[in-house]
Amino acid sequence: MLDRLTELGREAKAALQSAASVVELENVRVKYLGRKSEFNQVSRGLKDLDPDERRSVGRAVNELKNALGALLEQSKERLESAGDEPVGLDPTLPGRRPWVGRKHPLTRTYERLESIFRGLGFEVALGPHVEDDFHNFDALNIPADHPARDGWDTFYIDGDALLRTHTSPVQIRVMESRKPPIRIIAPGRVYRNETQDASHGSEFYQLEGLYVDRGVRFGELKGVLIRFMKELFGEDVTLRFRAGFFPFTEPSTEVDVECLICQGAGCSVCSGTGWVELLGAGMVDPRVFETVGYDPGEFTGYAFGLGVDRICMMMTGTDDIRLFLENDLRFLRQI
Amino acid sequence: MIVSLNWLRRYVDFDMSARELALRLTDSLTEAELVDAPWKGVTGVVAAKVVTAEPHPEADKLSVCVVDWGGGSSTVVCGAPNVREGLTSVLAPPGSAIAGGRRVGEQTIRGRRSHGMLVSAQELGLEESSEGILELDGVEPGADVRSLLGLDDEIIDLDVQPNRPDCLGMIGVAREVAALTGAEFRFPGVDLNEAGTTAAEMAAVEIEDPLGCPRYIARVISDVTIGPSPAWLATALRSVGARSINSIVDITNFVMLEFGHPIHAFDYDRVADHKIIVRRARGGEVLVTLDDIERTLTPEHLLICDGKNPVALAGVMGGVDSEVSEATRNILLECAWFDPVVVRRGAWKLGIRTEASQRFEHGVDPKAMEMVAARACSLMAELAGGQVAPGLIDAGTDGGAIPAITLDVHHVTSMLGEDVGRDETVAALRSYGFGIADGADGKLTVDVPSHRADVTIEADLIEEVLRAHGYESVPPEVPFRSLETSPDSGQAARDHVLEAMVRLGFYEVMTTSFMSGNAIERLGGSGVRGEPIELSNPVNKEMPFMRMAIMPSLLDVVRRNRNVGEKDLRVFELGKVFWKDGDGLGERWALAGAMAGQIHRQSWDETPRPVDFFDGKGILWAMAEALDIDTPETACYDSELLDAGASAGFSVRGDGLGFFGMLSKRVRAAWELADPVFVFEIDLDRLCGLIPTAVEFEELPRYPKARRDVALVVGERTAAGDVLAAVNALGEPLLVDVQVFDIYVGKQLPPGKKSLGFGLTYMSRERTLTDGEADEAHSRIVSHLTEKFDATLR
Repeated sequence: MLDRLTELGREAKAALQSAASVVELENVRVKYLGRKSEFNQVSRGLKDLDPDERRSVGRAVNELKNALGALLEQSKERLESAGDEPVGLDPTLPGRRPWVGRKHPLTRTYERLESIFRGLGFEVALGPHVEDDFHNFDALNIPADHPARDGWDTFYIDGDALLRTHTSPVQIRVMESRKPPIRIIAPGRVYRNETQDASHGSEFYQLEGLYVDRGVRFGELKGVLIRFMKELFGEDVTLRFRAGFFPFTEPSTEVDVECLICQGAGCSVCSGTGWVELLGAGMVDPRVFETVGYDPGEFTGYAFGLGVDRICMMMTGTDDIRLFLENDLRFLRQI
Repeated sequence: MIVSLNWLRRYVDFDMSARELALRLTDSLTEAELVDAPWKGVTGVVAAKVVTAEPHPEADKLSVCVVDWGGGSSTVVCGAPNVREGLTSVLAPPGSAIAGGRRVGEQTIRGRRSHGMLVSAQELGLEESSEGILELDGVEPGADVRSLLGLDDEIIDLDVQPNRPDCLGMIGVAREVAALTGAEFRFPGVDLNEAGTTAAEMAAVEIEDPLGCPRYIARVISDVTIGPSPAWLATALRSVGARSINSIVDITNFVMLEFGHPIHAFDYDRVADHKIIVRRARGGEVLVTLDDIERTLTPEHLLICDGKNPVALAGVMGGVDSEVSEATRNILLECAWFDPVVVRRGAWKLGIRTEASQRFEHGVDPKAMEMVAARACSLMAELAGGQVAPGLIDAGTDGGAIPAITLDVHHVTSMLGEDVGRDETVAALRSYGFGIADGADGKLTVDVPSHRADVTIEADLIEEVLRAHGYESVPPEVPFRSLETSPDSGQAARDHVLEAMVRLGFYEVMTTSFMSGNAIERLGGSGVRGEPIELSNPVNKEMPFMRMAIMPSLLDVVRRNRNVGEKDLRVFELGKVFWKDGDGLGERWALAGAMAGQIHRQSWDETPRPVDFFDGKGILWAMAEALDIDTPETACYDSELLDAGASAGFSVRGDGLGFFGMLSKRVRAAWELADPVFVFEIDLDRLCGLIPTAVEFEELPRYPKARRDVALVVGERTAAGDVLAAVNALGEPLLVDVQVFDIYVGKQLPPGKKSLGFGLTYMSRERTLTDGEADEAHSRIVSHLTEKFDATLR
C-alpha cells in the first residue's frame, strides 16, 4: 500500500510540475486529488485498515496530501504568473488582424498640402461645383467669346450654369463675401470636357491659393511657393519662375520644379526638359479686384493654383491619372 | 506657333543657339520648345541638272538620267513623273544621307546602275508627302542647297498665349528676340513701284457692318503671272509646315505668318462690279468655301460680297468662285480688321478653325494694315511680275489713338517687392517698343505700340518690366503677418467623419460625379432629392447627369474590384451630390459606403461568414459613437434598392439622414453582384451638423455600478428597438446603460413568442447604490415594460 502511495505521489508530482496550463493543472488535480481519485479512495479506505497500518499509511497520506497541496499551489502560481495562454502555442501563426482602412491617395496628398499651407497662415475655403458663368469666367477677366476661354473645355448645364473648370471661382466668392486681409486655400474637384488619357482626366483636383492685403508683393508669392515646395519635396528642390499668362493675374508666372526623377538631366517624365510644370501663379489682376469691389489702389494680392493629382503622381511615381477615380483596391493599397 | 530660326533672321540678328533661345523665350515670354526638325540628318545633297532623261528599257515608269552635279556627272534611275531634261533638282549621291539620316548608296534598278538618287521634298523631310522630285529654278548645279532648302534651319514651337496675338507672326517673335538680345529689329523691305490706274478707280469697298469690320483696305495688282514660288519662299513655308501652292497664294500665307495678320487675294476679274461689300449674311444664304463645302449661313456670319454674291466668309475662308487660279491675271488684295467675336462665333458655328480665323479671333493690329498690304503688294510685284496700282482703298477706321498709360515707378517696387529702379524700368519698356515720356509727379507716361493691345493698365506694364528684369531675379520673401480667422468651411467635420470611417477599416474611394439614366432608375429614389441635372455636353453620352447619389458609382467600384478578385470590400466615399428643384440647382455632401465579402479577414481559425445587416449597422453606430453622436435611431425605410427584409433608415432625434441595409436582389443583378452587399448613404451635411462642436467635462463617476438583467418574453414581432426606446423614454435617473444581450426563440417558449434579454446598469453620482435602490429602479422599469409590451418574465 505504501509503495502504491509512493508511486502515486511520484506520478502526481511529475504531472503537477509538467502541467502546461491552469486547465491541465486542474485536470491533474482531479485525477490525483479529486473525489474519485485513487488517492482519495485510499484515504477513505483508511478506516478499514488495522490500527498499525492505519497509522503508517495515514501519516504517509497526510504527508503526501500536504506535499501535493503545496506543489499544486506552486504550480498554479507558476502558471498564473505566466498568463493563461497555452504554453506550446505556435507564436509564428498570424494574429487575427482587424480590417485596416485607408484614405484615398489624393486625400492624403491634399492633407499634406493643407497642413503646409495652414502652417503658412492659410485657411480653407470651399465653393460649389456647379458654378455660374460669372464666377467661373467673367469675374476672372475671361470674357465670353474670348480666345482665353479656349483654355478651359467646359461642361455646360443650362442657362449660365456650368461645372467649375478650376477652383479659381472660390477666390471670387470669398472676396465677394469678405474684406481683406484674406489668406485662403481652396481645394476641390474640377471638371474639364477633355478626352481622357494617362495625363488628362475630365474630373480632377486642384488647390487654389489667394492672399490679399495691403502691400502684398510678387517676392512674397515667390517666397511662399518656394517654402511650400521645399516642405513638400525637401530642401534640395529647385524651382524656376518664368513668364506665364492667366487672365486673372498680372503679372503671371508659371512655376516649374526641377524634375525629381532625373534631377534635371532630362527624362520621359519631364519630356527631356529637366523641368516639370507644377503651378500657375501671379499677382491678382486689378480688374478682378474691381469686379469684387476692392480698391486696387489700396490692396494687392497674389493667387496660385496647382494640380493635386499631378503632385500625387509626382510624389508616388503613378503614371496614369485615371487610376485615381478607378478605385482598384490593389492600387489604393499601394500608394 | 512654329517658328523657323532662318525666317526670324530676316528681321533680327542673333547668335544664340536654338536651345538657348528656346530657354530665354520660355523665361520671358512663354513656353518654347526646340523641335527636332525632320530634315535633321540630311547631309551631302547637291543641286544637279538633268542633262538627259531616257525611258528605262525594262520599266515603264522609270527614267535613266544623266545628271550634272557641278563637279562631274552621274547616271541615276529616277521614278518621278516630273523628271525631264533641263530640270534642276537635288541629287543625293552615294554616301549622302536623306531625312532621318538614311544613307544613300549605289544600287542596280532593273539592270541599270543608279549612282545615288534625285530626291523629293518628302525624302528630305521638308514635306509630309510629295508627288515628284524637287524643282529648283535658276540654281547652278553643284550649289550647296542646305540653306536654300532650309536644311540648316532650326525650329522652335512657341506656345503663344491668348494675350499675345502679335506672336502669331514671325515679326512679333522677332521683336521679342530683339528685346532679349539688344539687337536691332528690322522691318521687311517694301518696294511698290506703283503705276497705272489708281486702285480707287479700279475697285470700291463698302462696309455695311462697321462693328463686324471696322476697317478694310483693298489694293489692286495687275498683270501677275502665276507660277511656282521661288525656292526661298517655298522653303520658308515648308519650314513651318505649310505647303507651297503658287506664288500668289504663297505670298498671302507668307505675309500672314510674317505679320500675324491674315490677308486674302481675290481674282479681280471674278469680283462682280470690282466692288467689295462687307455685310452680315442673310438667313439661309449659301457660300461654297475654298474647301469645296457648301456652307449655309446665318446673320451671325460676316460676309465679303462682290456686286452680286458672297465671295468669302470674312476672316475665316475664301469662296471658291473668286479663288485665285492659274488663269488669274489681276489681284484684288484684302487686308481687313474683323471683329474677334464675330469671327470666333461665325467659325465656331460652322465648326471650322483656320489659320486666319484663329488670328482674327485673337485680334490683329489695325494700325499695321497699310504696311501688311504694302508688303504683300511688293512681293507680288517682285515674284509674280505684277504691277501695283497706285494708292489704296481704305474704308473704316483704325480705332483711333491708343491712350497712354501712367506708370508710377514706385508701384513697380511695391508690386514686385524689389526696387528695379527707374532707369531699368524705362529701358525694359523701351526694349519692348513702348514709348516713354516724363509725366507729372515723377511718373512715366507710356505709349503702347499698336501691336501690344494686351497692355491697357499699369499692372500690364509692371509685367513687362518683370519680363525684362527676369522672374528669377526677384528675391523671394516669406512674410508672416497676423490674420483674422473666419468661420469654418465644414471641412473639419467632414475630415472627422473620414477619419472615423478609416478607423473602422474602410477604404476611401473617389468616384465620378457623373451618372447614367439607368443608375437613376435603379436607385428608385433612394437618398435622392429633386430632379437630375443634365449636362448639355457630357464627355460620356451614357452618363449625362450629375450624380444624385454616390451609391451607383460606389457599386461600380464594388463590381470592378470583385472582377479583379478583390472580394472582401469595405469602401466609402465622401462627395458631392447634385439636384435640380424647379430652376434652382442644389448640391450637398453625402457619405456612402458598401461592405461585401467576408466579415473577417481570412484567418486560420475564423469560420468564414459573409457580411450581414448587423455587421453594417454596427459600423454605422460605431461611426456615430466616434463622432460623439449618441442617439442614432433605426427607422423604417422602403426602397427598391434594398432588400425588403433588411432595410432601415438612419435617423438621429427623429430626423432621417439616410438609409442602410442589404442590396436588393434586383439591384445586385443589375450590377452583376452575386453575394450579399451591405450599403448605406447618408446626408453628410446634416450628419456633420450633429457632431457636437464643444464637449464639456463631466466629473468621473466615483461610485460603483450595479447591473441587473431581465429576460422578457414578448410577441415575436415586438421590435427590440421599441423596447430600448421605451426604457430610455422612461428617464430613470439611476439608469446609465442598457444593452440587448440575448435573443431566444425556440422550444422553451410558446409559439409566436421570443425572449429578449436586457442588461441594465444602474449608478448614482452621489453615493454607492444599495442593492435595494438598484432593485427598486430595476423593478420600476421591468414593470413598465411588462405592461407596455404585454411581456412576461422568463
